[in-house]
Amino acid sequence: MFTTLATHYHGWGWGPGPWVLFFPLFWLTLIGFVIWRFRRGGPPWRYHETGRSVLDEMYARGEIDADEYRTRRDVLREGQR
Amino acid sequence: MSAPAATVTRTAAARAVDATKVYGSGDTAVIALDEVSVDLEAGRFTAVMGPSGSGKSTLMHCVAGLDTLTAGHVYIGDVDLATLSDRQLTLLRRDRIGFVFQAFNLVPTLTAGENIVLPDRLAGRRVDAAWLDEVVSTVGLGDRLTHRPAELSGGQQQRVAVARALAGRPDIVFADEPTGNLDSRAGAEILGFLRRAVDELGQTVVMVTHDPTSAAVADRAVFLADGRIVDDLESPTAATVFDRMSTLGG
Repeated sequence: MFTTLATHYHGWGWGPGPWVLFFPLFWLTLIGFVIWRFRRGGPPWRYHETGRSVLDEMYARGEIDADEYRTRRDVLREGQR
Repeated sequence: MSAPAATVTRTAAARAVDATKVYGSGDTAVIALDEVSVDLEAGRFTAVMGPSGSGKSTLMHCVAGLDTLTAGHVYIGDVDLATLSDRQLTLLRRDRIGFVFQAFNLVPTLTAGENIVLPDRLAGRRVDAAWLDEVVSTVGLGDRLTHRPAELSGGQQQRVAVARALAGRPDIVFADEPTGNLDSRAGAEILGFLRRAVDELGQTVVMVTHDPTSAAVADRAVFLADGRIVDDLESPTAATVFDRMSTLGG
């Protein structure tokens, strides 16, 4: 059967080969990544909404002053290294 | 004395139930809040009074979700803050709470107008232009919007902060000693704007202060001492508040 399909592939330019595994794996990885991003901090198109942007918003709303903003920002930078 | 049973039922914009906050542990533990229960009604101006160290700022920080309780619960509307993740808490503060602090906390490189809309911009929210006009005229900032904080007086800067707090149309505005850095005239102006925000814009304001004249602007004054609520006055006047404060050793 495989031989037949393989023949088909070689003959017609379609049909499964070992490389078909690549597509499910690709989608699985992509979906996994999107779910991971969602769980981690909201929708993936807003994935940047982590420490720094939360901090920016707190500063923008006046919840923290400039000194505290700088201190916390520096701590976040340290954490990224 | 306890609060008289309310004849008019008002919904609570925020609520504390047996709120307890302990700093440190063991022998050095300090009880900042000792099973405090209080309803902060929507559409009203409530002053939280007390001498320094009475727990009034701690209460505000915990109710506003800036700090967490050791025990007990705080609610914003029907939401128990203890059930929220850090991220959900950030979103709730963004959508439902406005802040005004003693230090105005404006971004120095932006104009007054930019400061007011910055939280909305960062949150990716559309700015409601009609509401914004109303807010800006309520705090009397019309001709100052293009100025930077450094070009404004303290009173004007605090007006910007009040407008910023109101811009997102929050459920509740918390003001922590909003007149603390201002002279008495500018302070009275700010109190007048907070009052108008309640009367004309239907906002809810909770103000922490140790100043009897400030509290007299409020509809209600709640008194804290040693982490407990010791009194609750309706329609406070400077005289009644001063009287109460002097017995608390404020």
